[in-house]
Amino acid sequence: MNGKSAHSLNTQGGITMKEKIKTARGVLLEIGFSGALILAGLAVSALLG
Amino acid sequence: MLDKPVNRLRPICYYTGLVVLVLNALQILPIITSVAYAEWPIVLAFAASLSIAVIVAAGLMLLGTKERFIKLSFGEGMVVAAGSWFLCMLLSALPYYFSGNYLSYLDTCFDVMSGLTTTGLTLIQDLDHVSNGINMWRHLLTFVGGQGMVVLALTFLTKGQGGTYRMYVGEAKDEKLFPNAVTTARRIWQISLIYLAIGTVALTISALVAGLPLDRAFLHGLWTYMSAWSTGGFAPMSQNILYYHSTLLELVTVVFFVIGSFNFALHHAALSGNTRELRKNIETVTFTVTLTITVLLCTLGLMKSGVYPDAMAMFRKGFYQLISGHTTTGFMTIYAKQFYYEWGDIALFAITIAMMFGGSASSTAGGFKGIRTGILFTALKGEVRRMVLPESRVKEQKYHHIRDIVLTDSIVKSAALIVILYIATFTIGTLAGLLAGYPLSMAAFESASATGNVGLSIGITTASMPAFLKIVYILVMWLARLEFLSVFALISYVIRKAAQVCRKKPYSL
Repeated sequence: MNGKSAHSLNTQGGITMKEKIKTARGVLLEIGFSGALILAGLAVSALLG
Repeated sequence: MLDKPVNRLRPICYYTGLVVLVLNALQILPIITSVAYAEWPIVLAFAASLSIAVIVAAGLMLLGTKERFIKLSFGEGMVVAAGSWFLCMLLSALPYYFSGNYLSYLDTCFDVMSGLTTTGLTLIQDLDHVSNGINMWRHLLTFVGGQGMVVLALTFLTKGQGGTYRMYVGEAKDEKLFPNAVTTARRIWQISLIYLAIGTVALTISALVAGLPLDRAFLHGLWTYMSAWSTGGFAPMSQNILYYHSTLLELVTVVFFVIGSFNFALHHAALSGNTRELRKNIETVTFTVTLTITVLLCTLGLMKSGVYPDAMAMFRKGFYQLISGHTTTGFMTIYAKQFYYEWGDIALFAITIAMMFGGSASSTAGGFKGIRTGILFTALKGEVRRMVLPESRVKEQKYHHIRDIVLTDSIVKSAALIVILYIATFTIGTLAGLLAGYPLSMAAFESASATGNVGLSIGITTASMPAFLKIVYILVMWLARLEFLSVFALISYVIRKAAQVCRKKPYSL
């Protein structure tokens, strides 16, 4: 079974597994960005506070 | 196009009615909530309000049903956007009014406009004992307002219907994620619903850890998520986020309101596999820079005032309020009066500036928006280079937003115009606060909060504040959320229509 057919087997409601992985990666990245800002804020508070 | 109002009024009525109908149909959700908790007077309040809204919306739609395929002009699209926001404010306030939780109808209109514009200032009475149904409606309004109620209505349209993009632009969202406005609107809702699931679970767990029973934890998690994602600022308890006394819940809210303040084009890019966009985009870069500057300034100010004795208190009070203000969320972990009596002028100045900068364009956030701050800074940098460097070494200025864009004079002019209008509106709001007898720092803070659609309060926004100040804040929130032009188009349209009626009067008599 090649990669293409594997994707088509995992299709649910028109969204392929590849798209789901991209979405999950995007969500994690945005949460990571937000988390980095929180850590930076904590560092500033710790250094100056 | 606006020169033929007799023919052109009907599609405007149709689309306005559609937006009103779609928004008010959501009253079904608070009705279900109230039924589940046996809040029967509230069920009746919603049933009466929904009936009135449906009658008004159906009347408007019937008036223009034959003309609904006429393509709207940009001016007419803006009239639909601004008009439906105003009409929705009047009609969506009815459940509040019938519930008896407000002192006047003006107060209910204030809260609806505050919710829809994702501001978060509130005049509700005894919030800690408000029914679950009313709380559901408050948070739904802010959730839908963040995405845009026109955006919501567009998801129910077919792709061929005329003028949909013009209505979309009228609601201050000019990003086309897809060539078609209807598909773009559906993608915006898809992104919001993905985060709705993740955010509600995360905040429900946080509320459970904070000690709430399961059903309350779920409702508080759902409502807090709706407010956080929409950068709204409403909370189910009068002490806002301070009520929970939970570091975990505070951190989770920061994650979601920071993400909520991002541009939907950025979400679309990141969730479609373009992971580099997050660090290259002018808005995230500008946000990081302005946040760093204002956090440093605020922390130095708080150090000077000596109000928070340790790093954790500084983080949970200083940083939290600052980032909440910068993303235009308005969640608070301190009491309103503490800003004025404890923070000191430097920290207050920092947070006022942060509220003005705001989040990203085409997001749920308010303020100038990062893209405009970034554009103006890039233009300034270009001008300085032009003055300092020889002509041969001066390159054309570019900025990155989804793709590299050449900075033209018209882009700079457009950004500067909106920033000037924000500053003018902020000045009017501050002046109104001064006229009401508040000191300058308080008046400026509350005005920045209303203009930036933030929701942090220094203590001015209470049911006892003068009626004229409530009206000024309603107008300020409405103007700023729609970024002025749609409201100006509506006012211009009404004046022209009235002038035409006046001119025709002698003949009709």
